[in-house]
Amino acid sequence: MTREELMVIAAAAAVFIVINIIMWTIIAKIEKRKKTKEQTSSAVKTAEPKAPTAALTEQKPVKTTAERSVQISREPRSDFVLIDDIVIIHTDEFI
Amino acid sequence: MEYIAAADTDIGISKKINQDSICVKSARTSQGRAALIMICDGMGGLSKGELASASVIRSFAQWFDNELPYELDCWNWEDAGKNAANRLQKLNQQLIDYGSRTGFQMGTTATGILAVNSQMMTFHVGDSRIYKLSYRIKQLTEDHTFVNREIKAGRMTPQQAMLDPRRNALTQCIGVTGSVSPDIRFGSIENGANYLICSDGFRHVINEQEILHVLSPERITTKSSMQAKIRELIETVKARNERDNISAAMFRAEF
Repeated sequence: MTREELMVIAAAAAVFIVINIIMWTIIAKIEKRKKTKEQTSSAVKTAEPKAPTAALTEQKPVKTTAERSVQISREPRSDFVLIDDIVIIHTDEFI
Repeated sequence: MEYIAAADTDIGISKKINQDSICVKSARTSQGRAALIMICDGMGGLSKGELASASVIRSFAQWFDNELPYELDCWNWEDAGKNAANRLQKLNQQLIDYGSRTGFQMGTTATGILAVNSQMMTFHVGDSRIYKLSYRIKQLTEDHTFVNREIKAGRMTPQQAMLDPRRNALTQCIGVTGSVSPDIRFGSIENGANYLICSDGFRHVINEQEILHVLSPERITTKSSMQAKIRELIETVKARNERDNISAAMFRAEF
């Protein structure tokens, strides 16, 4: 390979790297802008629920300590005595 | 050492559902006392907000009952902070996944105090607040709201923020934003001070001096008086036509 050919290959590689850097910088900026926009616009609390379903109208607070999904593999500690045990939730549903 | 804690919540005067959830747990252990006081305010504008807040509360309540007793054997506040942040981040992802599976968009704030003997940790995402009430009232959390961010950046005054249509926009909450960075802070519990956690519905129409006047430590010496004073303020808030759900929990240590 001649010196000129090597120079051409090196120049092409340099151009490729520069184009890549510019491209990824632009992509990162767009993603960042998109993310910021999502974070401020999607978390808006409004005064009224947008679409309350019929099933959601029952409003008896559920005070519970028994949890369906608990997987307890250890024995309860006898030296850990609950004094206050209040859990107030307003649904029986689980995710 | 004694811990006193109480909580109350109200659906308010106009909503059809109470989307707030509360956890008040305290325990006597061989290492001393431990307590978890927490409020989650389900997103009013999002469907299933009550499921989001309940899910976060259930997770922390289960942790308190089943894991904390063992963690206390080699208690480390730094690890506790990391674990709380991880739990909130995991719950955030679970709620997002559930939302994308079912088509419901859910969100909740999550603000709480974990106390072990004379030390405490606060964890916080959203616009619920923690106040410390002693001879004065001090807000311990910073709202994760758009307007608060603008105020801190000097681009908005507090007066402008009160009138801004974006005043309810949260910059982060559990279940909505792709990632959450909970504020975790550590400190010592002030002997005899009252710590109040409240949803935004509790504080919209009453000012800090009114809160201090009713909930100051000298006015509250027992659990029943704590419970009664919280209810008194909730009724005041309702009488002033607050439209949101109203929730508050209080905690006090005496040693």
